[in-house]
Order: sequence, then C-alpha cells, then structure tokens
Amino acid sequence: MKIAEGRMTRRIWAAAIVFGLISGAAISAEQFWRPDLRGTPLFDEPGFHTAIGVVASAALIVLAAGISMAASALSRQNEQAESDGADADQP
Amino acid sequence: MGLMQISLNPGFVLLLAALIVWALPRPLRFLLMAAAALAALALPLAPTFGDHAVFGQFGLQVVPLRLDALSQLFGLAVGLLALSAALLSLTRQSPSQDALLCLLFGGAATAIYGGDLVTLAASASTAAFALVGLAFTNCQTPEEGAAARRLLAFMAVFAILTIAGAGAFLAEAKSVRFDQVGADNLGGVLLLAAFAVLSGAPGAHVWLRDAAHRLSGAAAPFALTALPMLGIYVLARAFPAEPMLGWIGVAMGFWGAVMAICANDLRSAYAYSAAAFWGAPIALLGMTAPVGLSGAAALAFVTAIGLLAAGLCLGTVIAASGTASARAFAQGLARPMPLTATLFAAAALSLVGWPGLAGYPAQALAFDAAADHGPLWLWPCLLAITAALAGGFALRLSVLLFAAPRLRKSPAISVHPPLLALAPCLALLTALGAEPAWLLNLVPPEPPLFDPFRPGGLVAAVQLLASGAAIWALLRGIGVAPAGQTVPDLDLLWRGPISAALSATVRLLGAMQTWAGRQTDALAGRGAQSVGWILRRLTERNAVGSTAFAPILAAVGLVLTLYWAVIFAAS
Repeated sequence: MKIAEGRMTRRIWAAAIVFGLISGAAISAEQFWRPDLRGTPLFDEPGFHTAIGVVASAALIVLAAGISMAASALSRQNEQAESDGADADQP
Repeated sequence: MGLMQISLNPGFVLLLAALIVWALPRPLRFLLMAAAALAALALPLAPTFGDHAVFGQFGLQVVPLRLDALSQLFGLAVGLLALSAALLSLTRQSPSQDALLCLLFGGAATAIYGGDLVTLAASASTAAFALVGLAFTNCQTPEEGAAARRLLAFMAVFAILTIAGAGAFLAEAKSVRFDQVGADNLGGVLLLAAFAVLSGAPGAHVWLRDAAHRLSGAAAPFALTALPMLGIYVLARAFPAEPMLGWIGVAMGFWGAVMAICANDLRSAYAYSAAAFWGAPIALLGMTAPVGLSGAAALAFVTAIGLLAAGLCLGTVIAASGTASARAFAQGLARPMPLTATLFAAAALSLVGWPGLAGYPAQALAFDAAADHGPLWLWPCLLAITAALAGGFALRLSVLLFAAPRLRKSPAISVHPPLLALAPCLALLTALGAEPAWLLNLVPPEPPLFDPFRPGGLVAAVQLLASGAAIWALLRGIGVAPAGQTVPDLDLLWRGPISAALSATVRLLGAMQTWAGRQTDALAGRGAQSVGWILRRLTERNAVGSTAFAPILAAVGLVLTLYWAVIFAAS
C-alpha cells in the first residue's frame, strides 16, 4: 500500500508541475499578445486572477486541512475514551 | 377547454408517462420515457410566450402553462435530464426507479411551466416525494433506512413550507399568481425558506449528500441536478434582487468547496461540490441588475448538464471499483476506466469554466455581471470558490479516477459506462463551448450583448483555474492538503439531539392519535389510527423498503388526484 501511495504522490507532483507550466504559459502569452495591459493596475489585469487563484485556493485548502485534522483528532479521542471505558468495565 | 389545451404543460406528459412506465417491459419503458422527454423538450418551443389555458377555480386563477424565456430555459434543462434518464433506462434494471425519475422530472417541469402557486406547490411537492420514493427503494440496512428517513424529513419540511407559503401569500395578496413574491410578507418568507431548502442552502445542504449516498449511482446525479435547479428557478422568479440570496449562495459555495476538499467518500465530495456549484447562480440572483439573472440562468443550465455528466461517470467508476473511498482509490483499489475518467474530466472542467466547454461562456457572463454590477465582495468570492473547486473537485477527482495506481488486476464486476446517456450532455458541453450564442440567445430576461471570447477573458479564466489547481496539487504533494478524512458535518446535530427530539415528537403524535382513535367514534378512530400507523411505520427502525414506501406513494397519488380533479372540474 505504501508503494501505491508513493506513486500517487509522485503523480500529483507531476500534475502540479503541468498546471504550473500551463499557468505560467498563460501569463506569458497574455503579456506577449497584449502589451497594452502592462503597467495597468493589478485589479484590471488578468494577473489578478492568478493571484486570487493562488491565495484563495491555498486559504481554503489549509482551512479544509485544519477541519479534517480536528475531526480525526476528535474521533481518535472518542475511540480512546470508548476503549478506556471498556477497560474500566473489565473486572 | 379540452384535454389537449390542458396538456400543453410539458410536465404533464412526463407525469402521465411516470404512471404508465411502472408496468411496462424494459424496451417499451425506454421508448415511452424517450418519447415523453422529447415531447417535454418540443412542446415549449411551439406556443408563443405568455399565459395559456388559463381558467378560474374557486375564485382563483389557475395558469397551467406560462411560457417565457426564464421558464423555457429551465424547462429545457429538465427535458434534457429526462432524455438522459430515458437513455439510461436501457441499462437500468428497476422499473420503479424509472417511474420515480419520470415523476421527479414531471413534477419539476410542471412547476417550472406552471404560472400559479397551486400548480407550483402541488408539482414541486410531487417532485420532492419522488426523490423520497427513490431513497426508500431497496433499503436493506438500518443505516440506509435512517438516511432515507432523513431525506423524507427534509422533503416533508419543504412540502409543508411550500404549501403554507402559498396559502399565506393567497391570504395576503388575494391571488395565487406566481410572479415576484418578495420576502417582505409571511408567504414570501415561507416560500423563500422552502426553496432555499430544496436548493441545498447551508444547513439543508446535507440532503444533497444523503441523496448522493442513498440513491443509486444512476439516479443520484438526476436528483442532485433537477431539484436544486427547480429551487433556483423559483428563487429567480419569486425573489429577484433579494440581497439575502447573495450571502446564501456565497456561503453554499465556500462551505461546499471546503467540505469537498476534505471528503474521503467520493459521493460526498460530489454532493458537496454540487452544493458549491449551485451556490454561484443563487449568489447572482441577489444582484439588482437584470444581467445578474442572465448570468444565474446561463450558469444554472450548464451546471445542471455538467453535474449530471460528472455524476454519471463517477457513479460508474465507484460501482465498478466496489468502493467510494478516496483513500482506497489512492491505495490502488480503483478500477481502471480511462474512457469514463476522460469524460468525467471533461464534465468537471466544464463545471469550473475551462475555455472551450459550455461552462466557460456562462461563467464569463456571470463573473462579468458580478464584477460590473454586483456588490464589491461578490466577484472575488465567486473567483475564490471557483479556484478552490478547480483543485479540490476537478483535479482531485480526475487524478483519483485517472492516475491513481492500480493494484487490482481483474475487474471485480462488469459495469458499462452509461455512454448513451452521456452523449446528449457531452454533445451540449462541447457544442455550447464552441458556439456560446446558442445558449446566450435563450437567456432571460433578454439575450445579453456579450462576447465570451473577448481579449483577456480566456487567459484570465485559464490563469484562475490553473493556479487554483496547481496550488492544490502542490499542497497535496507536500502533504498539507487533506488526503481524505471522514469529516462530520452539521448532521451531527440532526443525528444527535435534533433527531432524538423529532422522533420523540413524532412518537408522541402517534401516541396521541392512537389515544384519540380509542376515544372518538369508530370512523374517526379508524382515520386517526391509520395516521398513527403511518407515523409509527415511518419511525420504526426496521420499517424500510416497501412498507414505508406505500404511504408515500399514497400521499403522492392523493396530491396528483386532487390537482387533476380541480383541473377537470374546471374544464
């Protein structure tokens, strides 16, 4: 199972690199085709979309990670309490 | 006025078909369902815009068919879903599932094309109870029965709120005309609450997840598209520019996206993503400018098609793999189905608005509307939700379906991808992506002057999606993003204290009915006892399957019979 998960992680890394390349290519293409956009305020520029994509996505994923860590900690605690209770019941 | 004039409402065709489909063998079932779906698609194209077959009954004006751009677009989407369900019936075994799906689409289409609150309340409740029927078929374990009863509770709350809202509005406004209702009167507030529940607003969104778990992979995507879409249609019609909808929609989007990123069960991930995707059109309805309605309607249409296609693909892979756990998939238990995975990736990319697919023009229209005419917070919120879903839904699930390593050599069971049912969805996703004018010309209130392929638009969309997806992959690669945990939602409350209080109340009511039955005369006693019996059957832990199913069917039949009786009495 460990081998499979390691393979999975490598493939996700590959996906990250591919998406990063697409993103970079899109930004460069925009700058190449539309030089008139250079120097305009960030809010009007398509680069704003990259910024919001990075920041919002990262924030929500970290929030999700926090929630699921809290949930698994809670369920571990419950299991611990249950097994403690079961031990206490033993004569 | 004859039957022909009444049956102008395209939903009636599907309702009639639902009653017959039950008794037919499979090839005929497919033919009848397909014919009914095609009729439901073709009928609204013939008449002119306006009210049809209007008649008075008990001093109320009943409008069986009201056709305008808004009802046409949403009605066409329901017709497409019905056509896809008909094509899927070729591979589906259960006639009751086909009939209930037909009933669900018939109820939704009748509600969408009807022009009065009587039709709306009757047919929307029919659609909701058809979902409950789907949930109660093939219940085997107590957990499945509990999930079906939770769905029954949500849909009963919806039906009661709708009927009470329509009644309160009639008492105040002395009319059952279904137009702008507004949330400034009691009837309006009740109707808003009812259809917010149906659209999966925060708190009620757990019904989407319960439906995704309880319904089969061949039925759940239909329920998760048709019913929220009906909810959005009614919110758009009755509560235009209601600011509260903006907040409800954004909350749905953020909560759905976060839960979709967390979820270990792929059906849960799908249901939470559905809630997040439905949030965007609801948020746009909160805008005062008419272009908000245009964006919401276009987005709802493409979201319905995309969610259906994605759900059918996901359901097929889950059925073939024998597990829905993301962890099990990552450990190599997924069944390799490259074609289905490719189709899923296309549907998911359309949902997040990848250029070239149908989602892009609708999303560009919606985002532009929010940026130019919406409140300042709306546009960045919509962008943020989309970026998170690009990674947490589209990329995450595509990677699991595609790139998860395979340890299983031979297929566990033979499951064929529902290619025929996917064909109309995928044809539309690509056709509308290449030629957005087909969609934009149908958009209410009037076709917008909008070029989705304007300079800068394409690249901005690609940047948003690619950066969101890259960040997910990066964080998942370094182990920060959740790899799939079982995360409790608000239903900790439903399953714990609230559920206990509700079932205690229902038992108390049942006991009171039994007591009343003993006290009153024989006739009243029999009636009360039968109500008590129904309540007891529904609350018993093991009363699942056909025994609990019968009273629900009886209730649906009663609503339909009453409605038809009113219509025929008038004609």
